[in-house]
Amino acid sequence: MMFLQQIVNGLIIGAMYSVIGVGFTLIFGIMRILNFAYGEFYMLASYGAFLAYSELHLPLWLVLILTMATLFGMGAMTERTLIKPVRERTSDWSVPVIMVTLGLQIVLQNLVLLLAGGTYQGVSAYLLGSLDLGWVIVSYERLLILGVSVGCLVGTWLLIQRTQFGLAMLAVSQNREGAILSGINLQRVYTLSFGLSAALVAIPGVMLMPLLYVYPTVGHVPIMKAFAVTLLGGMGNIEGAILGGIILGISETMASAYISALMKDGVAFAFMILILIFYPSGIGPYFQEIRQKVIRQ
Amino acid sequence: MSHLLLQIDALNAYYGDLQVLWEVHLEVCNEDILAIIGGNGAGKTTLLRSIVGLHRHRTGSIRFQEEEISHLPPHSLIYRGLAEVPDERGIFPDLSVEKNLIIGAFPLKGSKTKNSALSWIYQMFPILQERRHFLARSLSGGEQQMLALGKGMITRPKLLLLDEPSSGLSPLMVVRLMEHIRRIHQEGTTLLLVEQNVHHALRIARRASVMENGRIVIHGTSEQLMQDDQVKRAYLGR
Repeated sequence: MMFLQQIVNGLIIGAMYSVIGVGFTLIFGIMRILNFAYGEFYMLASYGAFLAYSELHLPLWLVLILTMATLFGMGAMTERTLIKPVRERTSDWSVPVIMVTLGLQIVLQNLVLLLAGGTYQGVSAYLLGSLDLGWVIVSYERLLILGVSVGCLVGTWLLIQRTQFGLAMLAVSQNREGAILSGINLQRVYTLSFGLSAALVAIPGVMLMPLLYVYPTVGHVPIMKAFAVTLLGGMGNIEGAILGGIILGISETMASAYISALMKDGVAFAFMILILIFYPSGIGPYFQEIRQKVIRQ
Repeated sequence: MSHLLLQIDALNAYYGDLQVLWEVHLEVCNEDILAIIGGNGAGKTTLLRSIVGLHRHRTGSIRFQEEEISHLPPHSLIYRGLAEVPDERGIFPDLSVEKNLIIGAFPLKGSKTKNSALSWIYQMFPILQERRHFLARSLSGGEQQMLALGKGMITRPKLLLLDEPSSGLSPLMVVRLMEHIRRIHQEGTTLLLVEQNVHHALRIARRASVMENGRIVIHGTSEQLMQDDQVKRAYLGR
């Protein structure tokens, strides 16, 4: 009973980690940079959700949409105003841009500390009650989290696979010059995908707020997950990130159930190191290799 | 002068302080095939990259259909009818053959136009249709080059720049590739072909230029170059 319960819990939190990972790995794939301010986008979304939900009393669906839209704008603006100028001055811009995002992380943390103070804030839960299936009990809140994660993973997948913009993102991530020669405007892809990445991390920012609370440095939680998920799945690999999020979620809940809640992160990350020793470029490429073999037959 | 498609004047290009192209003059006429031959490091690839703006550290004039294009963003050139198949082929290794071609067709307007362009490419390269669900990186070198040509051709550009299409291919594959290039030309596309394979290049091109150390040193018709003592000694091994 307990084992199944842990698997279900792990799947649910893992689906959220997948969302966190997809937004992070997307930017790595397209721009070859690590966005250290990614956790701060999460933090801003959490504060936004806190204000809109508990101060303005807006319904949750509206909070989610407003926060995503705002974060999309913030992400796109960050790219336009802070990253584009660096990119235009040098062709070797990966490291300087990473440093810009690191600086932005600290600036945003301090700014929010100044404005909101350092206390933990939050709401107790969006939904009360739970579903008892006999063999497993799931709170409605966690079911909601699962539904939103799956919905947005499917949405992202369709955006990438079925739209012209999605294909342009894939093209840029695989061959920048080939993409330019096909008439793809790199600047537009960079700006829009930065916005998309911020909008993606806004979803856990809203949905996990009752679980993690919100405070100026809350961003260190999602960014650690983002690193782990991205490395597990293979840098820049979207399918890998989805898989990696679920693996991380399940190994975390297993560790806290069977070893110690204090060892939750330790065990999960030790497991990540173990996988990377055997699959240094992540598990995503192997997964795709298998799928390609199936197509060939 | 309307038959002049591409006109390059006093083109200089640099890598940092190092100058790699020196006062290059070049003219490509409509419906022509111009080959640029020369050894490794002569500046041929830099020349093509400078024309399409992928290499931006350059001075001089580049006119395409009488419009100065040297200041334009490189992604806008395909919309004007100028395409390049770069030396690394410009394809997307982890996407299927079909998605590669679909991305190549982005500049076309309307799904009908795109679909007919796709079937036109499949007609020209049946192997691509056979392999359309395969990832580009799982294709053989020759097939990848077909894909690169198909992707470069799918918008029916007026001028196609080809950078070393024969590199890495077996001699038999090179012969077949040259047939394809000839057919692309017959479909109405003007070609600027950079090649180390001088035999094939001179056979397929009408005119050719020899590049050495970043300069165009000899220019003439292919017949003239094949008789040129210097070219014979240096490139044809006779």
